Amino acid sequence: MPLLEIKNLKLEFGSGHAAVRAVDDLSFNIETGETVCLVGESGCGKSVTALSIARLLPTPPARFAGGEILLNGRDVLKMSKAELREIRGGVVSYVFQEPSASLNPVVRVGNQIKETLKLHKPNLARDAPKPSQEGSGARRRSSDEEVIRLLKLVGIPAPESRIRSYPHEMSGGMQQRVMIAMALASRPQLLVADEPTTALDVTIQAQIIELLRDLKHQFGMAILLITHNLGIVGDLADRVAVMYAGQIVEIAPAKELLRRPGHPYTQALMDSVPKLGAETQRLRAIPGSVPQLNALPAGCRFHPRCPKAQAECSQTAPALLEVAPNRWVRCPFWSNDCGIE
Amino acid sequence: MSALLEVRNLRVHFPVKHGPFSRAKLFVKAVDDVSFHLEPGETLGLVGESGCGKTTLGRAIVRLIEPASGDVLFEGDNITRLRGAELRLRRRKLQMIFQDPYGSLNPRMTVGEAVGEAIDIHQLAESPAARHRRIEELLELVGLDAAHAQRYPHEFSGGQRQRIGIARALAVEPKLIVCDEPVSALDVSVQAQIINLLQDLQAGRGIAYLFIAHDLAVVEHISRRVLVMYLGKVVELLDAHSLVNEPKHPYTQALLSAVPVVDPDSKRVRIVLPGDVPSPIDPPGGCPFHPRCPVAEARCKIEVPLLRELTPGHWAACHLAR
Repeated sequence: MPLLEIKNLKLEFGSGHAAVRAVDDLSFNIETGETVCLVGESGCGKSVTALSIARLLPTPPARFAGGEILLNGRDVLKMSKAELREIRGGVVSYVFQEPSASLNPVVRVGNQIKETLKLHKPNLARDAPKPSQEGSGARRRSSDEEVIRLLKLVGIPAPESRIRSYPHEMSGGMQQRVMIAMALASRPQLLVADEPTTALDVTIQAQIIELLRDLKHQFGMAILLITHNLGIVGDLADRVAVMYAGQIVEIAPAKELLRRPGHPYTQALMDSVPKLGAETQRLRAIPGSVPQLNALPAGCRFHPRCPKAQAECSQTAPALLEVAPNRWVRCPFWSNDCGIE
Repeated sequence: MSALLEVRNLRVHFPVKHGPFSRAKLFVKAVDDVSFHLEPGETLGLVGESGCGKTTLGRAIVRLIEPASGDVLFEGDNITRLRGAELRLRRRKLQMIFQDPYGSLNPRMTVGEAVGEAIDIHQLAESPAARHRRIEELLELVGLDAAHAQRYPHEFSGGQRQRIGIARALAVEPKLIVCDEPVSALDVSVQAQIINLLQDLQAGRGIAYLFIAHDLAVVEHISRRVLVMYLGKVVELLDAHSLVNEPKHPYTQALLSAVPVVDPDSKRVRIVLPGDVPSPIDPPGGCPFHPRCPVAEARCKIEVPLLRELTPGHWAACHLAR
């Protein structure tokens, strides 16, 4: 049984005639310990998909119009509030793009991490006081130890003094490490990282990617990584799902996808980014822009921008088909021969 | 050949208050003794991490921020001391495009008014009809529809707004455009459109760009030469070609190796720099990079390395660079 199984998820915003479908018939799995990357441009539905896993989207305005999200075999969409509280943090943890917006500015970072511990690992948060040294002081010390251990784990220097810092006293990279420590505090089976490095500088981004890779090996934790940067994909992912306008257009093992992108959109996305040292004279830009969800083109959603579009592309919407083992592409004219050099 | 822009020993300092009773004023040396030049029609890339002073340098050149000392020579004239009408006259040749296409357009002005404002200020149109024609021409030049002039910024996507920003800069026929992270707020597929547009405009009109960005791949693609900054100082100045093949400064090397690559078969070794960029209020002594430098020696902590020309056109500020 996969750790996470999303089946035919349909997610809408708004109601009646004004409703737009942000996620349309989306299905994919994450196995235990696997890293899956969700790639796409802004507005393609990748963040809302990620938020749906622990039902973090406010409903309304969001509305689940169909499908199932099975976490360890149990449907998240049918869970009670108490059950949801258990899986949020307990099974799935989140790390978001902007660490400064995710941390409480008026609480010391040590206490913020302790809060997660109290909720999910109460025995770690207040270790039984040792017989010799009873009292709240000793109790606090032992819960501090766990927080210090977590901060050390994510590579924060001098964690003993850092637990007393406020978020504004830390840099963006350090704040993101605190967020990761907090996500790990409850020892989740799945870590959802939504653009965790987009707000950071490249040298700090490299540090965070190394950290995520280490943690993945150390704990055998599954990661759902959401990004628009194909470079990060190659560094971390086992499998990649490419999204466009609310649909998955391609799923494949990461290396295969990067070597030989199948869907024209994946190919175009890879061609449009400049590569270091390639000395290309001109970038192959994708014409036009991502369609609005309330004005999706008929047929294939990518056809108005697609260099390989045929007459029938504007008529029939293509299905996501398994074209090779483990490789799914939503395009009848897919090819895996014209990849990057 | 005379340079279009020459920057000499430019410094920009920001005062930092230090408590109500403290008389000692501290300064952030955002730009510290920077010199370079730019040829007509050339693109000079400017890279560095956030807080290294690249935006401040760009703004000081167009004098949106007053420099503390140093000279900026534009077409041979020192523009750091110009005022009023004289400054306005020079600024016509010197424009800027900003990072955030949402924040840099007035939401209450139509696109036509935003682009036309520059034409009015510099009195570039003889008649209302000519002004109207000029606005339509500019919008078409940047790939928008002439009819878009009547619309407001919120009706456009990020990429289209960036095109409006470019049209506004082009309205006064500048010779140099300072592009401050023009594509970093855009989606990758749109980013390529804007880069291509900037290159086409340069080929057609011979505009020079000072292209500020943190994405090395983009900078390498668009620039002829690249300036690397760290804590307000230039650490390396080199050809875009040698940026990838033979960077000499350890910071440039680390920055380059940190860029994620798409190629899954790449054998590249990543240099992960420890720590963060130090605070520019209290930069480390000696070489500002030495606390994070993987090859630092004892003298790096004491002696400030000067920018030296290693090979013709390739400058680096490192004691150990050969």
